[in-house]
Amino acid sequence: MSTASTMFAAWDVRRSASSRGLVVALLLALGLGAACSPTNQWRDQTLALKAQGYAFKGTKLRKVAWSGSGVWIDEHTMVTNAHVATRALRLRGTDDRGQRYRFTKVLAIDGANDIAVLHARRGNEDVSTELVDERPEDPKDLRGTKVLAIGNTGGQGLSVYNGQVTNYLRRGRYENIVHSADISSGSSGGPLWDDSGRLLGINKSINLRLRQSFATPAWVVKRVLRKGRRNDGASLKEAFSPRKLPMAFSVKRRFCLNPGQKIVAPIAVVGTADIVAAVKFKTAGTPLFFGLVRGRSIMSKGLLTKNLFAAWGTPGPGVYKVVLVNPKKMTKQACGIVGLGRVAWEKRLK
Amino acid sequence: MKNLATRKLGRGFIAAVMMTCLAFAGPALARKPAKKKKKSKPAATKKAEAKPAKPVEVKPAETKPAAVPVTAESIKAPGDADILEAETVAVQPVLGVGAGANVAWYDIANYAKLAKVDKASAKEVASLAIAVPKAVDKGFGFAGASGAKDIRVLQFSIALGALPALLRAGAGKSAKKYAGMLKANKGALAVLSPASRSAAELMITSAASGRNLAKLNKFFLAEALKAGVRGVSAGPQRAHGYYIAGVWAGGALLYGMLGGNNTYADMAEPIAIMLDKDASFGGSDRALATRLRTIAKQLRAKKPDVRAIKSELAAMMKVSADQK
Repeated sequence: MSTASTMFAAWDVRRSASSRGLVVALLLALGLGAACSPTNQWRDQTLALKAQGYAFKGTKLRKVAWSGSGVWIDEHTMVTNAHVATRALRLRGTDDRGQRYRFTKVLAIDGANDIAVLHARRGNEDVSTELVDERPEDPKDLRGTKVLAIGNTGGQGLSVYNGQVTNYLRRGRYENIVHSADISSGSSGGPLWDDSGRLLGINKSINLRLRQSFATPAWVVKRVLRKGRRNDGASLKEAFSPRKLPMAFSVKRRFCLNPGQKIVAPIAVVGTADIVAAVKFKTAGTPLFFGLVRGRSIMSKGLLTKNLFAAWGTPGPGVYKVVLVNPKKMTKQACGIVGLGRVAWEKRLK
Repeated sequence: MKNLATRKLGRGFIAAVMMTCLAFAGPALARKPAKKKKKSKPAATKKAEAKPAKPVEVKPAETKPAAVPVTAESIKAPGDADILEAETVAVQPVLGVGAGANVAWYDIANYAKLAKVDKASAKEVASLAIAVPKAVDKGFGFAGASGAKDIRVLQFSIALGALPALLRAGAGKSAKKYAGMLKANKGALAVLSPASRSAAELMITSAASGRNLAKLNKFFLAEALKAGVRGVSAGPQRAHGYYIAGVWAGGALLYGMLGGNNTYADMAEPIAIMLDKDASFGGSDRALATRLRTIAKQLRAKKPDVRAIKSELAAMMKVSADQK
């Protein structure tokens, strides 16, 4: 029995356990239990991740922890989403058997495809994950393929979801497999297995209106892996240090503010992003108040005195307003340029 | 004068401040009392009474120390009121920032591809009637002030933004018709940046020729919005503001027909804040902001009402320029 079909057997067994005890018994009686090791291969390959790091709060940082999922590619390499690894200073994973691992080095990040490649040693245990590493001649043919998604739902441990590929989308180097496995929060970075037990993709997001899930295809993951293997990589602390942030600006704007005046930049944020406002003063000795406002409530505020930036980790999608104010007390006009955009972590590992 | 002031006040540090202030304001202060003339009398009498001017004596009580300059170091962390109640003079909308470079735009484009069209809504969209503004009389010179030019941009871009919706609704003929009219009057966009104009031209050419329709549905709309946002920062701000407002509003028909989309709906708010608060936008723009918010509300609803979106678009087309 191939790894794949055994995996799906395991999946079926899991489902049956709740409602079809008879089927389980039959399967066991048929000797499928003998294939237990490959059947449960995903249990060794998939990881529930726990990350500890920080979030931006203007010019300050705040300690935070979060959960995600990951998958071993080989005994040295683990793949997860870029948005799971980003800003993590400590990253630990636990497989479904309770085996724990620690990841300290990041080899590659692809922000657009939401993939991060991390390095760790599994010790003596070998693991080898087979990827769907070639883009099919017509990836649309994948539609209808049965899939199994594993995710660390709510940070409570690995959960199993089934579904099928419903579509494939492409725009240049940006590709998506759309599927119906009903994954939820905490499944980011988890594997999407095809019905042959190969890694078809890495789950990254869900769309509640469409009731569809999105995954980065394995052949894109392979491309990022190749890049990662060429890199020496960087420790988590180096890669995600809050100092000298790499930035990507969507827009830059000149401003001149009299005392008591402000410039507002409403930013529509999709998903989660580390947004950043960098100010280059043209007038010396003119500090500015800054704030991040959502609705009428101020999420963060402070003072910018030199050519500086403020960054914020946004908790979710929505409209956030970055506000720069020339304090009323000042007597001078404050002029400068403000750049608005996001922190582009991927630049650190290019 | 300096000595007099310092002796009377008798405080060393104030003296220092005064000396500094007077060093700057001295000449002005010296002139000030001279300005305080008595009511002028008729010229004839004035001449007769003319006397040599007495030296001006400045009494300490009359000398107000100039405000002590506020140093950057003396400014401390702001209170909520400092942030919220300051006067807004400029607004820079930023649409669609995500974890990756183009995540937001792919998100709405993918949605446009995957979501199913509601048949009743499609029927509504197909019967859309937009008066495409004529760019006319003399070249690009529209009658009226610059405000009228901006309004033309708005009307033009609403029609432009509606093209993907018309195509998706199966109203290819209407889309071609509109594209033809837009092509003939594209001078209306002459005030915009080259990037914004070429993004608009891509949409028009695609709809008119029937080529790249899939891209038109998904990406050209996003490109037009992205170019418009950059145009807002580079200027002219008002025309680009109207451009993104129009394209977004027209594009809302597509997302209304597809059952709504929160990401696209969220993009309305930055534009609305700009129309509402930015000092360079006028009174009629406040009304536009309300219309955008109403459309965005529809896109967030479980089942958007395309007819309501259409009527908001019609109302936007009727907005008149502020400048006389």
